[in-house]
Amino acid sequence: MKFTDQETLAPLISYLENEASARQISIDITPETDILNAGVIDSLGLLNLIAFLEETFQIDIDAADVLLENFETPNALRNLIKGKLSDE
Amino acid sequence: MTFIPAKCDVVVIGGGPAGSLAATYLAKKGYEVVLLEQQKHPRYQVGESLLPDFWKYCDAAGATEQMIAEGFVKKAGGSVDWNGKINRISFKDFGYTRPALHVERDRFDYILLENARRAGVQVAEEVSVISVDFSDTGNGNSVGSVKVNYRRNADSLTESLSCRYVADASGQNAVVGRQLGLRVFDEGFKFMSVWGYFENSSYLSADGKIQPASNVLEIPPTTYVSALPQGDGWAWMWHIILRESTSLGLVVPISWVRETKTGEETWEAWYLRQCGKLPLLQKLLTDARLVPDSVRLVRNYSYRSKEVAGPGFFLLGDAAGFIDPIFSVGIVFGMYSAYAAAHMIDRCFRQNNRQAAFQEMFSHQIQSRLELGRSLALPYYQESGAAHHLGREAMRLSGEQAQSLIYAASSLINRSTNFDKLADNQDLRHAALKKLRPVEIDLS
Repeated sequence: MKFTDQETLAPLISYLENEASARQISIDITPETDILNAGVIDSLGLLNLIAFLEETFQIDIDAADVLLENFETPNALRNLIKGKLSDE
Repeated sequence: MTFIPAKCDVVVIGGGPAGSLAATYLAKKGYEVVLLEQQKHPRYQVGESLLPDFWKYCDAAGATEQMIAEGFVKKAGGSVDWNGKINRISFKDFGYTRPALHVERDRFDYILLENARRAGVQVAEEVSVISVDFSDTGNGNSVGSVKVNYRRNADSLTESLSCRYVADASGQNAVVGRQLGLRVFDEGFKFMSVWGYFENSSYLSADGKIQPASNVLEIPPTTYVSALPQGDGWAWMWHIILRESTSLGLVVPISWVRETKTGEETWEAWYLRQCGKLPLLQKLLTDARLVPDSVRLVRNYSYRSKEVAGPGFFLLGDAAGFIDPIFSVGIVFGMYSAYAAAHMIDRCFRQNNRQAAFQEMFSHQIQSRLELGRSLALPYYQESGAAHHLGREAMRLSGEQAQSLIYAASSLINRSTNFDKLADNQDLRHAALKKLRPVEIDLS
């Protein structure tokens, strides 16, 4: 399956906006928002986010992919997804 | 006598916070869960201090309302007396909006176990797990079968129960870890705890003032910890005020106990003698009385399991690892492992072909947290390859709020040099250290 950058970012940002509002954090999620430091994704949220990415984009995320570089911002997540899809 | 079925989806061993929560989360996802608990709740348990992070696990389990209704003591932060300096931190300064608590564990654990029952978990108490048979756990792509052999404490007959996964939350009994030989001990840090309960102890509030016990529900206390004068900064004391009494314990290297306690001295006398060496503690205990026969001891060892998940099993809380309890992280670690195990077990059921990947994901998350704990607590922490990298990554993936609190806490007890090996965000460290406030109390 192929996704354009915008097709990847839109569901990501909408998922993260829901997470933020569930945690009562008022924040504008942009592609460069630091979602970890802003508290949008905490240790529980990280597990749920991984499951969301796998289901939405039909990719497999491995334990070794769980790095700051891959999870810090929506853009970083987009790059992770892109890399996974081009590996197929 | 509680009915125990012959088969179910998941068996949870142990009804402490980790076991009750894992069982609750799984039952809420629709699985048939049997929880086997050795004792009859409510039952006594030490370990009364909780960090504010625990609330989100109660939220996810639907236990928040009962927790609030119980009216436990709300704690505002910590006061730390180390190397002649007394500092305090307030959770509020780190942006925490929900309180930490000091809890009577018999009540706290009972609330979570009853909540599990209400969620549909089949809870059987006074049942001991004898062994777990993993001989038929499938080939990695299919879900196999695990046989849990148990005995009701009242009789001698061994019965068995088949399931797909076992979540071992048996605490330091570490049923599965012992059976599979998974535990690795930190030989450099063998310690023991000796603790008791005092009535009418004063306490320190977040503003650094001494408060009488009667104020405890109106003016939130801090958890007070202090280095003991001998023991090179590795022996320490906790003072945790509860609703009716105060838990006061010592954590000391076993070698040091051998040097300081003679055969004739009772544990109670030795304990009181050590307490007497701390001037600030003595001030808090001026009008206090030791609850008769309340002094207990346990030999503890720092350990972790070299594997925390494998075909058919996940290890939770103290069954996965146990380190120096100095920062009150034990219960929250147990709760996190419960959430993560329930999440991964659910995913294993739904995607059999990826079980190994889910076990590995769980292992990375749990091992990284244990490694963080080791770096904070162990006297002779050595960087150790893979686990060290996991610990670093766990720190980096924690948000600023959690990182700041860890920086502040590690600096309070002079174990931060260990910690520097794992984390190096100097800006955050400086900002965190500015949140420490001195406690000024006239001890003359």
